[in-house]
Amino acid sequence: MTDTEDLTYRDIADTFNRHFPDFAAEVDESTSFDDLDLDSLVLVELSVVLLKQYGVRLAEDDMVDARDFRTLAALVNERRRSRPTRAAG
Amino acid sequence: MGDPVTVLGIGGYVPGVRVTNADLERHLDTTDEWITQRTGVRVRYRCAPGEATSDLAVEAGRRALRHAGRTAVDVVVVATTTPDHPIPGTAPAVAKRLGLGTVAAFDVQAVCSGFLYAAAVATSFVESGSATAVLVIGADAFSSVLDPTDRTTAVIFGDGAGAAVIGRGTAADGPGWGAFHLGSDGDAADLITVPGGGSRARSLPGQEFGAHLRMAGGTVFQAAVDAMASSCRSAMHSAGWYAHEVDHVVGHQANIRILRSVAHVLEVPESRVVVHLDRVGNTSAASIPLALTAASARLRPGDKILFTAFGGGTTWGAATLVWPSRLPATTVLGDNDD
Repeated sequence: MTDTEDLTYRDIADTFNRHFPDFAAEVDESTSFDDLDLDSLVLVELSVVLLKQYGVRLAEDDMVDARDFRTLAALVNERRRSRPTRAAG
Repeated sequence: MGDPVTVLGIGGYVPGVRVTNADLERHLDTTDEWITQRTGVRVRYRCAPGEATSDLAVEAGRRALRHAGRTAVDVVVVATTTPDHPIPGTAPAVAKRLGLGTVAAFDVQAVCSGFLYAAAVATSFVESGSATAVLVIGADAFSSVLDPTDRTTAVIFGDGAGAAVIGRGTAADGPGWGAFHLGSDGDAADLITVPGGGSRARSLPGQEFGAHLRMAGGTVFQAAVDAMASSCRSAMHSAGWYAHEVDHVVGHQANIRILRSVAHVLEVPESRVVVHLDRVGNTSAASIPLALTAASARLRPGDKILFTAFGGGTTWGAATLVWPSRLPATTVLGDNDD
């Protein structure tokens, strides 16, 4: 995947399952964080992984309010697009 | 340059009341599985009635002095947020009970970062020539400020004390301690707080100030990972270390998920992160020296150790240490310690 390509809920779910084997689950488009019993601390830990992987910083409220993987993917995409472009050279 | 300032001995102690997750299940709306999965803690120890922070500090201090083969130091620094009394500090009584006479003795209050702050002070004392050896003790009885009905904090914290004797080693010990990188952010004071019990509450008689610990878990998590990772990078830079060269990360044992996240951000393999909170919980200022003591059997001379902490204030810090030669393994809990 290139830096500019949009992420899907599947990309976020794959990242989640890789980093959180204790909570790993089959995720589809409608799977919510509540369905997987993810509390705010797990979501904050996921935000650390997303920051490292995609360079976007999401606050605890952003994570909790997203409620599901599809909305979270859309939020990550939006933040990536609004990042200032790095000057070349 | 003289001989390196390093660790000459370590020791740890936890009190006798053992509290398992199964014990907590009986009083709180929680389960062993939930506590283990979300925090990593399986067991914590609490003071018995009548037991206080200084009692834990004395035992840990005694073990560290014995480990160092010393009966004297020039300074005692006790890092604690739960002193025996508002006045006086805890350190003078600890020094006296350890038979150290009338040496300089004072407390440092930096909550869970307290041990690193105190170790920085101790190292400076030795480097300046003001002391030849300093006993640093991190000791806390957080059970004294816990709301037993708050499942977010009651399951995490335990009581305990850990200690280190800091002084000059020999050339064979390598470089010893590197630079300490400490920081604080008073704007975030409300993240981890016990509002009552201080001069603010006493200046407003009749107003309610909570006597229990309150912690904004999620915000603390992100702030802790940011600050610990950033201070670790500074400490590694000062020491000229790359992340892949670090043999052990001894971090404040707040939560297994925070430790794992810091390792992830720094790109240090998780296997190099010392985990001790499963056996004693989060013991605040005691957690780093307790974890170091418990891990001592696997420390080899020349190993590169990266320390980092984050706590109320907020405060944070990191430092490097090259493990010295000839320090025998020791334990906190006995043979099955590590």
